[in-house]
Amino acid sequence: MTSSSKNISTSPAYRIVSISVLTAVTAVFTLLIRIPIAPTRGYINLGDVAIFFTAFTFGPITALISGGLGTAIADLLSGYAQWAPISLVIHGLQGLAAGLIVRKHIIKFRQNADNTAESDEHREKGGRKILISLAAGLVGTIIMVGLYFLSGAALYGIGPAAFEIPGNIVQCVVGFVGGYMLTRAVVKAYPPVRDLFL
Amino acid sequence: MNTAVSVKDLQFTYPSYSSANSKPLFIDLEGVFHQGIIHVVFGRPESGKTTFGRLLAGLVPAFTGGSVSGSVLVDTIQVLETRGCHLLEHVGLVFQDPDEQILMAQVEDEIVFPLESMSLNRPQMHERLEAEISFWDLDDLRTANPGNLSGGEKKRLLLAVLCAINPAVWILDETFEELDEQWRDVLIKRAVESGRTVIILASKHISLYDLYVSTWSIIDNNQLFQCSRDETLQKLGDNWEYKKIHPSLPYISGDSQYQREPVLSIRHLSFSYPGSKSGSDFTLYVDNLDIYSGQITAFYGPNGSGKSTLSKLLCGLISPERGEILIPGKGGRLRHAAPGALQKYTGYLFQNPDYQIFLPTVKDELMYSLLQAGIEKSDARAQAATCGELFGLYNLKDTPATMSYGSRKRLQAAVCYQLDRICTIFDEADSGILLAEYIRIIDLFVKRESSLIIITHDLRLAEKLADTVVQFQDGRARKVEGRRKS
Amino acid sequence: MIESSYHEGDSFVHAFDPRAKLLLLITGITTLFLPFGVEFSAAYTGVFILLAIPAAGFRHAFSPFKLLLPLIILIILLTPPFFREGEVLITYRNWILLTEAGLMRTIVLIVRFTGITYAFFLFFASTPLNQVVLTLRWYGLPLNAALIVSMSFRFIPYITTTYHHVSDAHKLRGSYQTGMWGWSHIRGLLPVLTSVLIKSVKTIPVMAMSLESRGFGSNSKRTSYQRLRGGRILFTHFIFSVMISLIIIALPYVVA
Repeated sequence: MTSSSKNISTSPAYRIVSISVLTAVTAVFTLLIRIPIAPTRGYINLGDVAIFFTAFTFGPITALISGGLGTAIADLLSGYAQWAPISLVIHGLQGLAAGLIVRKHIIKFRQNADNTAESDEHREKGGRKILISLAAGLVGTIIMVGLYFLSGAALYGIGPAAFEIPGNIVQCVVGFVGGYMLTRAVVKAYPPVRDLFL
Repeated sequence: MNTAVSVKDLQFTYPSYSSANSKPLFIDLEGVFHQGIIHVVFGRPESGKTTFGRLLAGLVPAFTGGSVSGSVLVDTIQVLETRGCHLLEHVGLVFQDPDEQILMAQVEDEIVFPLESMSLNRPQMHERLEAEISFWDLDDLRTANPGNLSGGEKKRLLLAVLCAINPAVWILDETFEELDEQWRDVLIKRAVESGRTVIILASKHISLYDLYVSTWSIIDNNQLFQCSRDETLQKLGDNWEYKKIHPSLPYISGDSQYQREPVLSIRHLSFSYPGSKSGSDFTLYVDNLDIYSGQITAFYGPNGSGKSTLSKLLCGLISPERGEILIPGKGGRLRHAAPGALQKYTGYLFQNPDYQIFLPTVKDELMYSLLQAGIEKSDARAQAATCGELFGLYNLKDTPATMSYGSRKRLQAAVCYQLDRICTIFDEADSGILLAEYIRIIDLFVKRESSLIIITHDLRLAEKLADTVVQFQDGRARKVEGRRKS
Repeated sequence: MIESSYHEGDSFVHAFDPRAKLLLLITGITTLFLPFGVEFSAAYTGVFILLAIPAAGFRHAFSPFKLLLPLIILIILLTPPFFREGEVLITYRNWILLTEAGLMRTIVLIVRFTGITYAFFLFFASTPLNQVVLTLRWYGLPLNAALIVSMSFRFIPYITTTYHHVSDAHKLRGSYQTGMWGWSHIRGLLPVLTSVLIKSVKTIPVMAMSLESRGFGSNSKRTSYQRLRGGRILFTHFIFSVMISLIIIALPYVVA
């Protein structure tokens, strides 16, 4: 009997396709779902929701590429091409950091789940899981808001760059909370997602 | 004759994500396909014919998981021990859903991509590309994004890719379904002339097979039966004897005692889409059409003829440009219905059941709208269980997203059923599930005296089931009087 | 909805080799950050704007200003308060509203950001996306990265359609309403986004099958069909790019 179920996510074709699909998801979330707020970039979008979702489900590397590329493509398609290289770096780092922070915990959790079936230990760790996710959200937010401020300051001065901070914080916090809730909802409704983290 | 593909003792089981272990899909499946001729393999929905094709192409279980044993031999290659990418020139597969196979953002790139994997040089690639572009009539679409093509054009693109690779074994998964007559002819003749081993996977028989197919087989009860044409077709079953499958149906729709009132009245309705690059604007115009309570109305016509557009108008998902849709108001008088009102009046069963699934269990999905409507939790639980049973969903703890297609379709119908709309539209719900299941679902709605609109490609189905058939052609609707015999 | 920023055309901006164009884009933007007088930045920005007319056509050449306007207003409002030095130009009662240094800085920032915006606009308006990818490949972008970019562009329309179908399905199911705003809007979107993500994640293995069956992952060396024209044209365009780059960097020194 040949059996292969756990190593799907390490096949090169699978990895390339998953990154591309999540890049497209990030781009669509950024482009399609907008809530007007900050005048400089016009809107807050749900791109960060997709980035945090990717980081929590597919891990840091996928989040690095799809987060950066997805937002960069969205900038390109909406006429903000000058932002594309900056988004590529900032949102990529944001996804990478969030993914790295939750990585150890998720991999340990998965090993435990493999060894012992449903045990109480897991439930106790639920609180820690939220804390670790919160840390990921916080670091992701600091990276995104901080780097946008720095690049904004370089491009058009400290005043306008500082003006953008609140909007960016709101977008990132919404992104984290939304991404966290979506991860929970998707993992529950489609359990195979659990095996995809790398 | 040489053997091109031989399958021995094949066992396959998909991985299970629910509490119950999943049943094996293939048990000791055996089969031999000879070189250079055309084979057809039938299978009812969910019999595993798509999985069979993917197994031959070395893609299962690599990308699906599951456990497999036995041997699949293509030429001299042990497929189960070979990665799919090494089979490029041996087995070529055209997927059933082209949207899940097209990878590139440009038509030309899609054709060229596998040729690049074959390390062909530029002149060779150019020659094959140009030959297939002109053969499959894709010249105007060279630089188009395949995502924007029509269903038939996508199929032709994928056939162009297959022919450009020209592998030893061609596997066509329901490919004839989406093609119109002219291209079906072109494809089967090309298949014959190629001299390749061609395996057609199909759920329905078309007369074209009688002329060109050499061997007949059917996947049934986890096994492959290779027998004569007549035996195969007999095993496939005459789907049309639905009275045998569900004898109660004719009584309901044929009941002449029932006083019929219009539940939806369409008056001088028009809607147009801006034209694409290739074509002109599409306009739907329906002058006068009534949908009656307790009746089944069938919308029949080719793709892009306006069936879906009219359905979306009736559900209030889009607003008409001119004309109006009327629904009965107080005292039964017809009054204008705004899109917002129609959204709560007309139900819609999307062709794809996955568009609305988002909760962890069947129970949650079934309780959701009840809880939204303010029903007590305990009552909702009881109602959900009853409704689940009605639709054959016995394990309420199952995870919808990992259930079989048929179960997802039934769940979708159950959720729609609970909304208790006056009128419900079934968008090509007959594809991908057993006809018996389809009719059972329809029956449940009819029993409750819902008005039903069924959208279908299948004229026979339309004529057999519906009281009224509305034919669509180029945005015009023509009503054909009730053909159903009471 | 998903439109590329490319404008079809046959102007000399379009005909210019994209690899040489990318070089010019980078030097052009770098120049805007070098400590030259504002008159040079303004001149270069002016040239970018003028070039946009053949590149994008007169009607579209000024469209970037629409997107720029809010930021320009912000720069005007928020830059002067940070500068107290120099001759005071405008006061209101005791408040210094604008000094000479503040005014200069405001102009520099506006000119710079307009210049950057137009430089990018020019490049992407005159270069089709597949050429952009080929250009990046030429500069050393790995094959897999290029593949990800191409496939993402293929999946964007697919996921957009999925999103529309899903939100329609949820609307009719009563699990999604429009017309909300702020947090409740996002909460209302949750069922929709969950379905979109499940659907997207579920297609990944099938798409991966497709990629694998197209021969991706085998060790044999891939050839490539699409390529940018090389030869003498490339050479002359590159020489031209390098010369222009040197001129725009050297010019301020020569004038000084």
